[in-house]
Amino acid sequence: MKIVCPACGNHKSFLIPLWVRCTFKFNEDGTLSILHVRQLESLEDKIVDQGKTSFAITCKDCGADALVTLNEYENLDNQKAQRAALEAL
Amino acid sequence: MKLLCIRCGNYTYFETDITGIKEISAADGLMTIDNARFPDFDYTEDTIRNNLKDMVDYVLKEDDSSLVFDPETETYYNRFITCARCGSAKVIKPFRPKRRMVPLDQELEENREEFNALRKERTDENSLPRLWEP
Repeated sequence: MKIVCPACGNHKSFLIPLWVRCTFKFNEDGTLSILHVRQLESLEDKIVDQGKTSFAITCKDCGADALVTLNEYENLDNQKAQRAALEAL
Repeated sequence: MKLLCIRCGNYTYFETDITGIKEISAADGLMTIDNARFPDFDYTEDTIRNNLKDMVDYVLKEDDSSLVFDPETETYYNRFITCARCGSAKVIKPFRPKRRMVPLDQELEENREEFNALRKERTDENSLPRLWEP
C-alpha cells in the first residue's frame, strides 16, 4: 500500500480525521474536563474509503487530498498478464 | 448546572461524538498512527478540545434544534449529547424561569446618568492635564 500527496509529492506524513466518543464533565467553575476518548472508526475502513467520503486523508504539508494506492503492483501484474497473453498468441 | 439528564438526574458527566485528527506516518514500509504534532502545538489535542467546546456551546445555545421530540414516549432526546452515567439521550437544559423583562425605555431612563458620565469622560479625555512629555 502506498499513500502519496499528488500536489507536493509528500509520502511520509498525512492527517486523518476520525470520529471519537468523548466523555467529559462540567467542572464547578464552568470549564470542561475530558475524562476519556474512544475511537469510533477503524483506520482500515478509513483508508479503503479514501476518495469516497468527504472526510479524507490529507497531506500534512500542503493539505491536499492524499492518493491511496492499495496494491501498487496491480498495474505491473496486468502488464505482465497482457505480455504473456500476447506471447502465447 | 448547564445540562441535566432527566432520567437519572446526572448533571456532571456526559458523552458526545466529535471528530479528532490523527497523523499517519509512513517510513521504511511501516505505517504508524500518532498524534499530529506541529513544532509549537499538538494538533490532535487542540482539535478534540476545540470540537468538544464547540459542541457543548452549540447545544447550550441552540437548545431547540439539538432536541428531537419522540411522539411515542412523549419526551425530548438530545441529538448530540448523552448521559455518561445511564447512557440516556434525555439530556436537556434545566428549566429556568425567565428573567423579568423591563421595557427598554425604562431601562434607558434608569441608566441615563451613568451613560452621561461615560460620555463626559470620553469628551474630557483630551483636556486632562498633561503629566509628562513623550
